[in-house]
Amino acid sequence: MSNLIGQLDAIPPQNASVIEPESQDGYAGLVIEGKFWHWDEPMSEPAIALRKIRDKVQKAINVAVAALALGAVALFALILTFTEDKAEAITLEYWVSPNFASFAVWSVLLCVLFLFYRVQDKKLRVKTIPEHKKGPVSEVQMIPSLDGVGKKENIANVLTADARVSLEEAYQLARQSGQAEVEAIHIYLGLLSSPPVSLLFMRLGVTFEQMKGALRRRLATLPKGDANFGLPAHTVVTEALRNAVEHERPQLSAIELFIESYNADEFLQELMFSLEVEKQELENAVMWIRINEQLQERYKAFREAASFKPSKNMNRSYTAVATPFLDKVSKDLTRSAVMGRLPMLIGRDREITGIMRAIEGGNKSVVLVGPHGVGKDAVVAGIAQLMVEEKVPKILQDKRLVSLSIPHIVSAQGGAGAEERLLFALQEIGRSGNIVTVIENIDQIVGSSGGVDLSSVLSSELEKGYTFVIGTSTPQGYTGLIEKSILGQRLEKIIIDEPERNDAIMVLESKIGGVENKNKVVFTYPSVAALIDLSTRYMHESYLPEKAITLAQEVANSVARRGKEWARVMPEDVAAIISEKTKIPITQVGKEEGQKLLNLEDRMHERIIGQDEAVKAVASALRRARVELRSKDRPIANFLFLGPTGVGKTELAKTTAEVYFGSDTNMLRFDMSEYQDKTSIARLIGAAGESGLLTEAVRQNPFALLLLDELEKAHPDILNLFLQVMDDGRLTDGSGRTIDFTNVILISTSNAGTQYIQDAVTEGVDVVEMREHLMNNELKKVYRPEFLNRFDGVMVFKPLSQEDVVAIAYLMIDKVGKRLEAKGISFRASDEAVHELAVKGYDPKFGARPLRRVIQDTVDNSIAEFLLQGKVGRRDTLVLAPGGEIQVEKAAEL
Amino acid sequence: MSTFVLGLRYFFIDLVGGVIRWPVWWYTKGLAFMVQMAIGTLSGYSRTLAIRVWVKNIFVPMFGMYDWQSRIISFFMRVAQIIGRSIAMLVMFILAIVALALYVVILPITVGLVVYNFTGALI
Repeated sequence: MSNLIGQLDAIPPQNASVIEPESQDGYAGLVIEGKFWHWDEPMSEPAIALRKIRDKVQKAINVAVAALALGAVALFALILTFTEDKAEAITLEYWVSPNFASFAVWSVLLCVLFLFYRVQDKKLRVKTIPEHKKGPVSEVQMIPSLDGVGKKENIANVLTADARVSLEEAYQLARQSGQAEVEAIHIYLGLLSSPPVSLLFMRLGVTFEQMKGALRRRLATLPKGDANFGLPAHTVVTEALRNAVEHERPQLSAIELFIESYNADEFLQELMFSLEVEKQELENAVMWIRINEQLQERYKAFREAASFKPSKNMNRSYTAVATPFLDKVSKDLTRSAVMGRLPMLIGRDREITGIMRAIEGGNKSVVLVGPHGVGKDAVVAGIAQLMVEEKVPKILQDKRLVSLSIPHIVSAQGGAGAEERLLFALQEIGRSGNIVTVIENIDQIVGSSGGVDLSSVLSSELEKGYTFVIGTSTPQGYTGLIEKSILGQRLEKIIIDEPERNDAIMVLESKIGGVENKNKVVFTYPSVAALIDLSTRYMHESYLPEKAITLAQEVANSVARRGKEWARVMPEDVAAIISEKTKIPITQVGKEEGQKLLNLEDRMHERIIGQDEAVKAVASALRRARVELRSKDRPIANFLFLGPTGVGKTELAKTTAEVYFGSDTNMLRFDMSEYQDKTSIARLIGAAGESGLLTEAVRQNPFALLLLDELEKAHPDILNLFLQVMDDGRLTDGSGRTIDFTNVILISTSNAGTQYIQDAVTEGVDVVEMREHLMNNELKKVYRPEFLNRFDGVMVFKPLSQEDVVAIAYLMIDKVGKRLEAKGISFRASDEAVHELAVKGYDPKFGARPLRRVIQDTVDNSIAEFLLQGKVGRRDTLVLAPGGEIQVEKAAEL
Repeated sequence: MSTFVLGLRYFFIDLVGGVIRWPVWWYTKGLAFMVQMAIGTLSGYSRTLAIRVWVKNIFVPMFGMYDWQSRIISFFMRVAQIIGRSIAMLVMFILAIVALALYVVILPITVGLVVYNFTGALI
């Protein structure tokens, strides 16, 4: 820190005016439980020195007394060594009569008692912030004078040692830089070296080096004078106290001072913003530091409560009955909680209240309904913990929470007699009188195990009212199986939703410590946020927080494998793993890739001849997508390609798939002429229990190009389906799953208006005009206007000219050459031959489509014959001459 | 004044002040703290023994056995438990009182014995 002060002090002040320290011009304070808390301690060089000296003196006294005690022990040992008659030393007489040995022993005790007094007195002197009981915490007040204020308290008394040192550092910094007032920025700087704040910065991935320059320049602009720890500083400290009260902290720590110094100074907010730390992100990172402390406190209180909970099957009043069968097919959750084997529950207060209300209100069974991974088991574990602490309604007090394992009941004896076994277990539960049952995946008992429906057994027993259950199920299981069964009527549904972003971050923060220790890596806050954000965006098959936790383990593992211990996990590492899993490029655009993206048109023109406008539009859309300038809840781009057949519509789609998705096989092609009637909707999106062709293809390949050929031929209802895809970027399939379309490029091709295009080109009509006409007239006959409006671009593909076809012929001949290269044979064609092919292969109606067939007939067929006859071997060259004749140029003999 | 001299001054002031405050603290704040500790220990122990739960359930049969023979056995078993647990509680209470008494007398006795042995040994 002193180094820091030195560095910052080196800059001479600019436009700074000297002002004298003013006398106190007001008091900042906070009313807590009727007392006015304000800063009431001098902050000056001598005061700081004095405190430091007294701290040292206190320690020195303790050391001196401890040394005295040791001296007395040594004296005792010495006397005993030199006592001639050692047997005398163990007689009562020896100890009753006064002597130095007794003196030494009693002196040791006296020293110990004195030390006990000093240590205990110091502990008892530590003041804590009173708990705020009801209503919101009041705002910080400014009052002109302390006269008339009733009971007062000094904030300085509730500072942690770290916080006190940081405030003193802040003062020293202002004084040594010759500044008039201690302001938020000084407190901010003073805090940087305190352990919790340096941990916070480590988590944020921000270093002092990154802020140094800006802070130095800012300090240089502050007014000059003799540092005064006045109202601005008092305000920050008081706000920090308010923050501590709000978060029920026992003392005012460096963390609260840090947040409030940040809140007080717009410059600091701007500075952090420039380092990609926004307010919400900072608060989440602070929460991370706090959550670990809170979990420790909670765990301590929980352990204390757990020591009173019986860990055997018996309840405290010994009225329970032994449950030998049940014990074999169940797991005692309260016992696991007592032993500390269950994870602590974060949040979910609303759900817990709902469950308790249902149970308390009507002695009713509940079913927690939520997708896999949202934390239903964590909620059940939370209930077990509350039962251990006995913080539950009376009906749950002094009871055990037991999870009944349905697989154990069903699997015995090949499933025969499962009903009896369930009944027996339930009757044991009823008899025991101290058991609350949990059935995980309760939907599995509906209509299961070879025609035996366990759910009717359970519901008839529940009807008798001697017990109730807490079940869990997925939404599909609930709607598909439970809701319609008799059991459904007995269960009250409690929905467990996927947690919100900030809650999920908190859960992840509470779990990450274990992952870090196991893999010996350190997560930064941005990487934790990336785990949540990127998994939300790209991994739709699983749910938060589980998917983020699993992902965190994978990321930690991959970072750990790089070999460096305690390496930092950055957001890029998270992005890399998600990219690997989903094959979606989400890592930041590198220099080389940037260059490639800028030259996208050239690369596309290697495959596409002409159609400049369409190529440019597609390339621009891809560039926007890659730098995240696109809307995130729609497909990457929606294009409609219009034009006659054989002009390159499909080829451009293929090229796009190759340049953006890595290969032209990453294209999902649907010929819409196959989906002309209404029933084909089910083929595309599937039905209950059946997957759809379209939805399944996109589910398995979320990052791909979706090509809809001849869109105008599809049934109008199917167009409505795509309206939703283009609008929301998602589609719900027949079994209720939401399929994500936000990472596809949707290209539709259409032949609508072809005749007009051909005529217009012959007449030399401008492309823009042509598109206008198409949109307003031709297309309106086929598509509804709102459908057309959803496209990011409607590209008109012009019919190919003779020159275009010649260029295409060259491309195709090149391809033939490439195929022969693999066989060790060279191939070339004379310009006349290529032109001849182009003329033969051109048809105004079908564009360049016949060209492929012509090349096949004249070139490929002849080559195949040569190869089969053995007329051409490796190192030879085939030459295509005009007239379709192929000659062999034999290579020189070796 | 140099830091060292200032430190030395405070060392003696605090040491002497500390020694003077010691007996006062011992019989005020210290004693209150010890009493609190004793009450805390006793209440924790009473929660573990759960005598109240036993008294409340004195007529409730144990282990869910509701026949009349079991009821009678249960009643006597519970009475025996209550007596046994009450004795345990009493022992703990006495131990707490003894510990408190020891706290009250230990300081003067120790001081006395130190002085007695020192002066006696010198003479």
